[in-house]
Amino acid sequence: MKVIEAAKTDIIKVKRSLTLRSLLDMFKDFHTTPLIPVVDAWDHLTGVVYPESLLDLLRPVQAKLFRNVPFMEMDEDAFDLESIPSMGELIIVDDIVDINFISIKAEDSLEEAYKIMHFNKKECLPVVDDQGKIIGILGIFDIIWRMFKEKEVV
Amino acid sequence: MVVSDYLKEKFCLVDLQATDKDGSIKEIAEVLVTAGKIIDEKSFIEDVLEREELGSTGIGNNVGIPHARTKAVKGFVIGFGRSKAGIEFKALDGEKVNLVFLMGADPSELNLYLRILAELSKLLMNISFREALMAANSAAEVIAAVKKFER
Repeated sequence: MKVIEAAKTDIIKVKRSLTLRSLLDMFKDFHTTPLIPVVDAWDHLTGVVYPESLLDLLRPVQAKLFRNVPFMEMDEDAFDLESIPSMGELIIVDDIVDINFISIKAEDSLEEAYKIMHFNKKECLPVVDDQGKIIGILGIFDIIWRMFKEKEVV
Repeated sequence: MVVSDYLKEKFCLVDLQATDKDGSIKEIAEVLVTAGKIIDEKSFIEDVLEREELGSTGIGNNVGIPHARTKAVKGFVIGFGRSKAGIEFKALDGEKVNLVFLMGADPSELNLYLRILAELSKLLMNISFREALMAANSAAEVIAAVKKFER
């Protein structure tokens, strides 16, 4: 079975110029970690925003420095957040996009897609066509659901 | 104390000559080239201006933080320029900008880049810090103000 047969094609994609405030508003109803594909004017996938990056904007800078000190390594600092309202407009997607992203092709097999996800410890990946245009997102559960469907469980 | 780990006296200009955004970015970039971290000055300026085209970093309160993730920079670099007359910056509030912090980072330095951008934004929300920068008579006093307020 091919990736395109299992991937979700009704997805939200964003442009590099979108502000952080608009981005957060766009994804406020997501209750899981969203994969945010970043595209150019022709829908070519140019990067991905990982929500974990957003935490770096909120944590005190010192938290990272202390990470290298074993006895200071505490998870509590993840919730020691700073409030900086001006960042809503100052930061745009271009500032936080990861351009070293992994994607899968629409024509790849689901088995191959699963291996790539497993190897890279990703729960979902963007799906592109031969021209590099984004056409969907494939998540682990999409694969699981398809496997049960194959077995006629659903 | 993180901003001051990267912002040094020699990267601070207390009397910017430029009167517009592009000119101020070029003026500070020229100083940063001396740091040896800007591999390609022309590309660096182009990338910062391209980022400005996507959205102005003139965030109000007479502050501008032009920045870019660019391969023209090795690691991370930050410079400062002050214009008492003010610079036309196309700021979000329409006001002129007096305080300009120019930042550049290699695309792989996302974590450090975002944290310093956040830290700087937080510092610049403090009116006393902005007043201290406006009152500074030298680059040394700029650095002293940064160190005092980032505590």
